[in-house]
Amino acid sequence: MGARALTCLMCVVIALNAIAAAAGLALFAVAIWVTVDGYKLYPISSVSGKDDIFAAAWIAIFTGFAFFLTCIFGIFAALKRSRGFMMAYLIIMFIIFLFECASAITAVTNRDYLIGNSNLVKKQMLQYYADSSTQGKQITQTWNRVMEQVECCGADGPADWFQYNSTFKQMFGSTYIWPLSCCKRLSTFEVEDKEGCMVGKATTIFSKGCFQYIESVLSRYTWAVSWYGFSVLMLVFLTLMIAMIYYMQLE
Amino acid sequence: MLNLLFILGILCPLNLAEIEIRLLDPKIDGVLASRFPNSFLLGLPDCSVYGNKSAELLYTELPSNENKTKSFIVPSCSVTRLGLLLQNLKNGTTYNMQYKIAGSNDTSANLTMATTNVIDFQQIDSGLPARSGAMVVITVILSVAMAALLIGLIVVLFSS
Repeated sequence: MGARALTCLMCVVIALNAIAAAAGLALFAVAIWVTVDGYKLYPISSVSGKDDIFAAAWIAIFTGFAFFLTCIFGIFAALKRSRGFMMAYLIIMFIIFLFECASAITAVTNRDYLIGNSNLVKKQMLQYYADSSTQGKQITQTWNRVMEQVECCGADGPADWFQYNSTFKQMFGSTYIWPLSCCKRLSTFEVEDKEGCMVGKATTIFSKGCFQYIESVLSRYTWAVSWYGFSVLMLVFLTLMIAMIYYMQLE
Repeated sequence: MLNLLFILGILCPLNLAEIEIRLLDPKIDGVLASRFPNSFLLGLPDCSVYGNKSAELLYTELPSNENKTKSFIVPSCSVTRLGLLLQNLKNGTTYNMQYKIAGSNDTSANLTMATTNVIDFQQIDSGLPARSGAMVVITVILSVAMAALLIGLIVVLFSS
């Protein structure tokens, strides 16, 4: 290959590596956002034992930063026109590629288990809300916060509380049909109409279900890790293909 | 003529207005539901006629014929109470209910209703519902990319 063409190829490799380094750093940042869990819904996935969305985010933190460092090394290796360095770069990038693939696939598969439909979330709520175990306390706090802030009740609606048996019903069923977190409140946090809410007056109780909100938050986390990870991987795939061609042209 | 009027008067007594007893209707009365597994939400007796009087709700559990009474005071029209919540019932059983005003013979008709059944939450199937399209696309494309990269690396390694 002519010297001019080789220099051109080297520039392409350097440019793609620079973009991949930036993309890797952004993946690192987005994965940190998912891990920090600003919406505080982690107990829902941890109690069910299916917290792989967050495990995938942890992997993405490391692979994102590793992509950043290795791509900078790749720019250096391409500039030096060194076969040894380019081979090391290719092998390291391939290993990181494998880990990031695992992260993306894990996140999106786990999302289907957890929030494909409302059954798992509903069953968990009925089993653990008002339970006095550690898991029960976490679930109770999470659901209370979601119901009060998002203004919703139950997984699909308040009917969940009286159509099904639950721990809450066993403990408080003689007085309350549904938790008081389902009631509309004033800005002073007092329940607006406790008597009305306890009998189910439609204007004093939240009638929509919380599953839509939970599903949208966990989906947002999953798309951040899996779809963005997927797009970074496609970019890295292209970069590695061109880097392999460049390697073959080096003597 | 007068006799006819007297006969009609005996046949149609003025207190045909007996106490109304009914379950509240979610569409009309603005409640979520009125039939629960362990309670019923009943409409109260008319506050303009029976306001501030003490009344009783007699309810009988049908298979065992156990009689129970719940005493309450009919709220006056100035207080807006939605209905009477009759609690601590058994799920899936039929009950006969009747209002009676204390100290008079005013009663309502008999209302026969069954409480709803509960489904045990352990019966909810929380297995994998279905695989989404996103999962299939990402897994397939990434697997193909991984294989292609591996082949490319082996070719590059052995051709140098």
